[in-house]
Amino acid sequence: MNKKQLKKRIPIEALKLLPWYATGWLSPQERGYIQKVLSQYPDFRSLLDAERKMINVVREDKSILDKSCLDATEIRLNKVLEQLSSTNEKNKKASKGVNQGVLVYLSNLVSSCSPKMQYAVIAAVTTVTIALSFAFVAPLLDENNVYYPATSGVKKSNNNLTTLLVGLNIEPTDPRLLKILDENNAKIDAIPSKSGMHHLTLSVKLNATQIKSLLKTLRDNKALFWFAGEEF
Amino acid sequence: MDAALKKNDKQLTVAEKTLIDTNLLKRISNGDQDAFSELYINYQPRLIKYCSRILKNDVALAADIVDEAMIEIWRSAGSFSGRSQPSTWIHSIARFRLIGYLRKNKELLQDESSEWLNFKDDALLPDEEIVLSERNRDLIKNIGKLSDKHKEVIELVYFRELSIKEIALMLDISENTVKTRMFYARNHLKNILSSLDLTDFG
Repeated sequence: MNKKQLKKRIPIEALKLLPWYATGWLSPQERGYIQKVLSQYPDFRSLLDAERKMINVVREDKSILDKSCLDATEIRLNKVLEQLSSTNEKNKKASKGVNQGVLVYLSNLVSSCSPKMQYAVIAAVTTVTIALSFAFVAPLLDENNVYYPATSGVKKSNNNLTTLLVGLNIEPTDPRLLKILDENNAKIDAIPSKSGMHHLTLSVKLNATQIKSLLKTLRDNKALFWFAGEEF
Repeated sequence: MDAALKKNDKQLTVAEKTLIDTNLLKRISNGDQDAFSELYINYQPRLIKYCSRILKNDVALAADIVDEAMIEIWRSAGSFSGRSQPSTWIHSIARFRLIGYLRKNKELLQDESSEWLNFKDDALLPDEEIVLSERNRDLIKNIGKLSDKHKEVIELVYFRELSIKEIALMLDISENTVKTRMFYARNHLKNILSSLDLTDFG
């Protein structure tokens, strides 16, 4: 059990009174309460020990109270850059490994065949490549034949739709939500994105005032939505 | 007349800032680490300030979330379409990271945080950003430190060993406020001690 979970269980009032218990400045009633919590939650004692240690450290060096818990921006930036470099390095290695593996495999396959067979393998590979192009690249052309690469992260824009981001307190299949969707001629992604949000798409393009009004309605419905906002 | 001139200056500065940031994002999408560094230095302090307000002043956690958001900006700079201000886009990435964190740790998502997240942060308005960016260095120095109020309450408890009642009378605040203020002050102090590599204080 980590410390955050530990603190979750211990009553917040006890955590608040802890420094005065450690310095011995609680009323008899409050002291009694802390002792009760100490007996009920053995882990609370370790927090009390930590509190006493912290008091001693600060008393020994009062200048700690003037220190910052944040590294300078430049120091944190260097750490982030290191992280980016190491991730890039890993990605390069992984991609190189896969590419080399495929090349070695194809090369072995071709060289192990007779000349006629080699032509057949090359023809098969070409056919598969063309087929894959049609399967994956063609659908990425929109009605204006504008190409949206699947890996670019650029969303296909549709000027006739409005997309909002919502955080749900209920299941996407909840009848109350379905009613709202129905009323607004909208649909919602069944699965939330990594941030926990669902895309809510309306089949009409709303103007700024309409969006504002709709967002207000959604936000006011706290039982269903914990968040509603525009997607930028 | 002066006011009008000032307004024009401000608008021009905002437009310039938009142009600069858009250019930085474009360079970042091409893998330019210098551009990323510039953007990071410009935005990190105020993003930390923004996140820490929702995280009840847990600046250490806020800084971690902002770093994650900045890494996401590095990865997705190419998807910035220019339909919004770059600063709005950058802040929205940080906001979604923060929301993701709050969602995973539901106990932190109190009503007031939820309410707050739904509203546009006034500090994100571009004209205010200009002012903020000029104070970035001071900002990062100050948000990592204990506030005067937190320092004061720690001194009264740890050094002068006053009771809750005495502190409440001295500062003319309720006893509950004393306890809550000390609670957050100690949390911040723990972060300071951890950053100094002193013993883990729980």
